[in-house]
Amino acid sequence: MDEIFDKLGPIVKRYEEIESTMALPEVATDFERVQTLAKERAGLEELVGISRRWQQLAEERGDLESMLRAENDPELAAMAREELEEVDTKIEQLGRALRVALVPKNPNDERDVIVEVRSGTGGDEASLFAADLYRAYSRYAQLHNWKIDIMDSSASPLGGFNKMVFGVQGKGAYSRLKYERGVHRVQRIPETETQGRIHTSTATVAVLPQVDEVEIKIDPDTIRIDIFHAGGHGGQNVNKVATAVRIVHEPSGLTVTCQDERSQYKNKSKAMAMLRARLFDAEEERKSQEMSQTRRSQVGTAERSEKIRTYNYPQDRITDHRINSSFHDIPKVMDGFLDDIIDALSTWEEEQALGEAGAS
Amino acid sequence: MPSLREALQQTHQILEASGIPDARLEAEVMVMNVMRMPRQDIFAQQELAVSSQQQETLSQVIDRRKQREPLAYILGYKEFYGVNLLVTPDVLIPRPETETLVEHALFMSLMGMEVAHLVIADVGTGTGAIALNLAIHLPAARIYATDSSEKALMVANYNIRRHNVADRVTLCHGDLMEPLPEPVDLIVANLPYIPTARIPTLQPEIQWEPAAALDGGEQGMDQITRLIAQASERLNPQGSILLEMDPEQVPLAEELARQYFPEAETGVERDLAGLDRVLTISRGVAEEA
Repeated sequence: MDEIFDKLGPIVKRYEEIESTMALPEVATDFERVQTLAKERAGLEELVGISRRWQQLAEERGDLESMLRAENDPELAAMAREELEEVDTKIEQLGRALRVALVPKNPNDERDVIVEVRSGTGGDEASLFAADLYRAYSRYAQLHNWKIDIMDSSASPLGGFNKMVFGVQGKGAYSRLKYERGVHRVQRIPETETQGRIHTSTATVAVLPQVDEVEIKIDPDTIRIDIFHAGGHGGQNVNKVATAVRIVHEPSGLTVTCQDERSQYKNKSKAMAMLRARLFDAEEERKSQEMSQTRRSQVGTAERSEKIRTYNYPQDRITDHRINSSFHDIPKVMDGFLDDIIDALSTWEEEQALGEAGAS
Repeated sequence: MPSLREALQQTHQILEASGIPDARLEAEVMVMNVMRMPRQDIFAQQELAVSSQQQETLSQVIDRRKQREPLAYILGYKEFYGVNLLVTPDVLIPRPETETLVEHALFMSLMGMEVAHLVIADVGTGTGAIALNLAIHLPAARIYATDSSEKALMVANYNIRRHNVADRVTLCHGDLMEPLPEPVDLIVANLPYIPTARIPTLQPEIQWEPAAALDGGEQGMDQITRLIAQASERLNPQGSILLEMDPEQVPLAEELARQYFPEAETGVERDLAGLDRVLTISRGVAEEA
């Protein structure tokens, strides 16, 4: 089991290298170089800490083992054996922490996101379920102090949503919400149902990492910006509350729309953000298809059309099909308390990644 | 007590039955304003109860809107270029096309001109929409905003103070460019450009707006013509003019521009609907030494 700590050797070496380089006079005065090195060093900090802790524990164990060998007094020997057990347990825990620390992080985890919830099969009931999901995510965001901004929505007659697109800004938004991507299925008696029959409906959730203009440059010549207008002169001739901007990205065929009562300028900006996110997502998806199955599980997301979760209201049970686990108290979950489910998925993803990385 | 969801649905239905376009969107905006909640919260708390006081307020808003009073006048504000502006029945409600005018003015200012010494005139400022946004994005510019309506200037005054640009925007009461104390580098104007006879045929909402802010005379060109005629002595040698108008007015305006500014370059910028919307007149470019 100690072999895992062997992985730390080269890391500690590199850390020490960085430190001595940073101390050199010609480097210490080079601001940019210092910044780059400091950043690299910060990234290694955790692992070096683990390595030092392990050295300590290994020494302690060595001392206890020699003491045990030399000890004749049975009482003192028993004490030493107990202490040795404790140290071994600590080393085991440290080994687990090291494995988690070695799992490569998803580079998108820190990003803000755009979430799209769309009603699937089931007509009005599906739209109501989509509204329930939006509500859950909105409250989940509040619990985490994230900001929500509606980008586009399409209401259904009964107060549900055929479509709801919203941005979520906050630290780690993507790292948590990414597990929501896929098809959610609900089994319950709809509000409109007169005969008490249970219906099954679905809603689809897409989670796109937000990308800024520097990362995805869109050539203005490749996009066509339309606004909805009824023909006629426009300008002073028209007085409307709604501004709607549609952007068509010619090379990919992607279309995004943004409509609300705010300035056209803001809607254009939101639509561009949506377009960037979609283009980035399409690119990630393409890369993901090319990756081996092992690396894909590290990305932690299922196929977009995969049924990831079933919400069975009469049985008060939510089943996540990826981990085959059930959770209860649907009202609480739909009030935004999603962390239990997301924690379980996060742990599952780690175990997947570790398993396939070959660490045993 | 009805829930938010019910209030939204009922409001939507009433507005739709009254022939209001974008009824659902307007219903959302009304409920947001009455409940003082942003849209994301309205959607997330649809089961929230609406108090009888809130219902009463919402009713009043709906009743006014059923008379086709513009929503912006009822709520008292309109967002323009990312900024909330006070609007009253004394001013024209800013249109999205005018954002194109602002964008081009900014583009020209940042590209061609000596930004440090930029003096700008926003002629017929109304709410102050253009002047204010130029002031925000051109921190070194000095801006004069003129209007023939004192009541409009009161609204503009509120807006420039509210957005902390009163130190760089000077309001001038008078006819077109007459009240300007000095010549300027850039003239921007969204002057009334609707032909008189067309006004009564437009949307009911527009009948509530001040006629003086819309009426451009028989061909809608009266104010624009007068401005082009006056501009020559009030525009600096390397200066530019940006004028918002209707697409079919562009050829006539270009002709006038050629008449009064024979040495200038003219151009036309389109709005997001793809229609010709802004005429640009650029006086002689500086000779390279």
